[in-house]
Amino acid sequence: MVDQKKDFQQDQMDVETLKFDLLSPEEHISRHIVLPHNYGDNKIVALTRDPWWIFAYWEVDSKKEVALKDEIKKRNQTPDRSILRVYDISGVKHFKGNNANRYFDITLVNMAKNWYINVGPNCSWCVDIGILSKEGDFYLLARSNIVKTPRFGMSDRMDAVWMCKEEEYWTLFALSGGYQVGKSSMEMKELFQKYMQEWTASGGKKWISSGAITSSGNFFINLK
Amino acid sequence: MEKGYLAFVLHAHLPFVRHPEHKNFLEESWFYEGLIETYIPFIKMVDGLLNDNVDFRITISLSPTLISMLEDELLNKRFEKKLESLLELSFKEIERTRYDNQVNNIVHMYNNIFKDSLSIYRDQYSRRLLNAFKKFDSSGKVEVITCAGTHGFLPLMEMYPEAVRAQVKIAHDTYKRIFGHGPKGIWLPECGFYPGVDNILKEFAIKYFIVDTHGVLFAEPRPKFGVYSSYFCESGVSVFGRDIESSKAVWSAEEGYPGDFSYREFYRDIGYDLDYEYIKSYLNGDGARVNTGIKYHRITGRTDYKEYYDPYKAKETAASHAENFIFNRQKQIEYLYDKLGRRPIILSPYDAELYGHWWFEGIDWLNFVIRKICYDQNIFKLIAPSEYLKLYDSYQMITPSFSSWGWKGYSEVWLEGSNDWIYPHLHKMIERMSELANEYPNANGDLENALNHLARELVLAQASDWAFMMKTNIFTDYACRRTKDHIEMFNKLYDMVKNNHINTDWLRRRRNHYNLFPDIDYRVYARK
Repeated sequence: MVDQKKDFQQDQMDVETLKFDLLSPEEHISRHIVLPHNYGDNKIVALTRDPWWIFAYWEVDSKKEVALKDEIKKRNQTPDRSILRVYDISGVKHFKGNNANRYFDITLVNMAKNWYINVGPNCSWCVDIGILSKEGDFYLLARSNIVKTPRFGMSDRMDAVWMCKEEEYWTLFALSGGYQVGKSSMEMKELFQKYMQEWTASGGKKWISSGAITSSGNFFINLK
Repeated sequence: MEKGYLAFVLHAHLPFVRHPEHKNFLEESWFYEGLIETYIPFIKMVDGLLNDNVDFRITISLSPTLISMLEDELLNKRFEKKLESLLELSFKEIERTRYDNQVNNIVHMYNNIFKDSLSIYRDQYSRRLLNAFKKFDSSGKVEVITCAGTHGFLPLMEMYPEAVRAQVKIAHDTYKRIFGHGPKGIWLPECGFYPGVDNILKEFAIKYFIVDTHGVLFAEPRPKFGVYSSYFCESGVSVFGRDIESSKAVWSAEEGYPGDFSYREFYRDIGYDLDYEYIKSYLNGDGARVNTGIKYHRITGRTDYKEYYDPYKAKETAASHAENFIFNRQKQIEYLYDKLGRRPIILSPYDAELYGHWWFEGIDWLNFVIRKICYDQNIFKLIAPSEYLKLYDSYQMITPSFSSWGWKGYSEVWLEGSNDWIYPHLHKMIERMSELANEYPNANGDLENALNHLARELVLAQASDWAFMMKTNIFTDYACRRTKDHIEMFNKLYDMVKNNHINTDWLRRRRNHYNLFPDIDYRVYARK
């Protein structure tokens, strides 16, 4: 009985403490929340999604944009359109804007604030946002961080001590994948290459996993 | 002498969900269901193995948010009430089904489970289930490892090493506070790895982590042993890769064991099946029908028609599936042993809640597998990853590839149209946190409390669970609200700090609401 009373008093105290400390309705999780549209920055950020895609989002300071357009006009050029300039800077030590291996442009439409960019595996990328003039010159508003897309497939590098020949690799690849026990290493390699070709041709849309989306879906390639 | 090893790794995680402002909060039931269906049965299984002196090994990662919920008074009280209420419901069901032997038999099974769970929870562990894991850890047979602070997906924080460091520091510190020593291994949330994250793990003396299969297979240089050995990263931290074959046997809904027709059907629950007036007081507070956990049917087949569950038959099936699993591992290990010229490790990671919660018989299966491995064969042994690291004098050094175990193998689950709106905010929060950490290296009093709480709001917003729910369209509303809530409250508190006007009452309330990570330290965000 005494214990029960103690329990009850404890419960009551807990409830009262809680009441005292509860968040007010305007702080409840169910309240309507509007997040800032921007933070007054002038920046572009790149993220790696997978071997074929990077994602970039940005925030451009409108004053800086106006000033840049004025600058373009001062140089007797005409601002044409906002673009992303995507540079492949694999192996480039200090990227300065003019020493990329190659680049391509994406014209921005509909007040876009972000973009998924189709790139390729095993490269380093940097993305500029800026204005292209009618005369073809590019004027920079912001430059992203550098991101790297991962390799998709076997490394060409072999360890001198832990030598792993190609045939051996594909045998282990088959074993590790679990689907292909008994398949020869060359068959495995051919299947993988065929798969890669299909993948590339589909622009990265063909995905292997047939499983439902779970937090641990099977990534691995079903090379049947 | 055994020819190889099998390492089971269970990943136990739930996002921090605690809502004192509501008497019943639907999302809190994730925790209660997890305890009843997975964690308490797991504890019971391990206690049985220890009592029987079985020479086994199993690895389990406890996420810091799950640990925080296991420690929390309010959630514990609510859980006990929930368990008592289920026990009461099972007694009522025994009475209701007294003339139907078949169903009554199933109800008795549940009644026993609830009585057992209550006894384990209340009597054996005095409402402190973490004590069970402490005991297991010191037994040397269960390797308890950690997981990043709030289960933040680390590859999408790569350009902010201080944010990654904060997630790992919380993991390390929470683990150490509970277990008295640092963790040997870490489960990277969603197996999300990027080259370089291992350098941060090294700062906390973490010895190993796990990646998905392609993280190892696409590594540089070519990995000599596929996923069947550990490797060193340049940092000195070791990496293990997931074995697909053993994973598939359990994970795959179609080809895997859990789809067997004699196993319990997850989607038929008395919360939906029984008369509303009868069941309503056992449902969630708002009266909406929800799962109670009491289910009377078996999978039966690919049909809506479901037959009654037979616990005895299901157990027999679990035992035969255990034999099949072991047979396949023996063949796999014998083959690999000949091929590799060293003893392979098969590392099989699973979400812990697959066992018991999703696959009701999963814990029975695991129990059978463990016991049969130990007593009925000698081709391979169970091992903890840290033990495999000591087996050979040298291991190959590789740089694993960026990868995750999510759908499609990389970041897409957490970075796509439904959830990409979160990153500009999350990244800004990190930048602001770093700015303040550099500005106030030696804060104390209210300012220190405010800065530490800012770090708390930040890591809570980073939980990968929210982006995952947005993507999968499950509990999307809650996931969006939680993300926005933490972002807004972070920004509000940031402004208070910047304006030198901290509302201490508000801060205390917020701090009491999100009461996890008492030892969080904002200074970790200082840019080095």
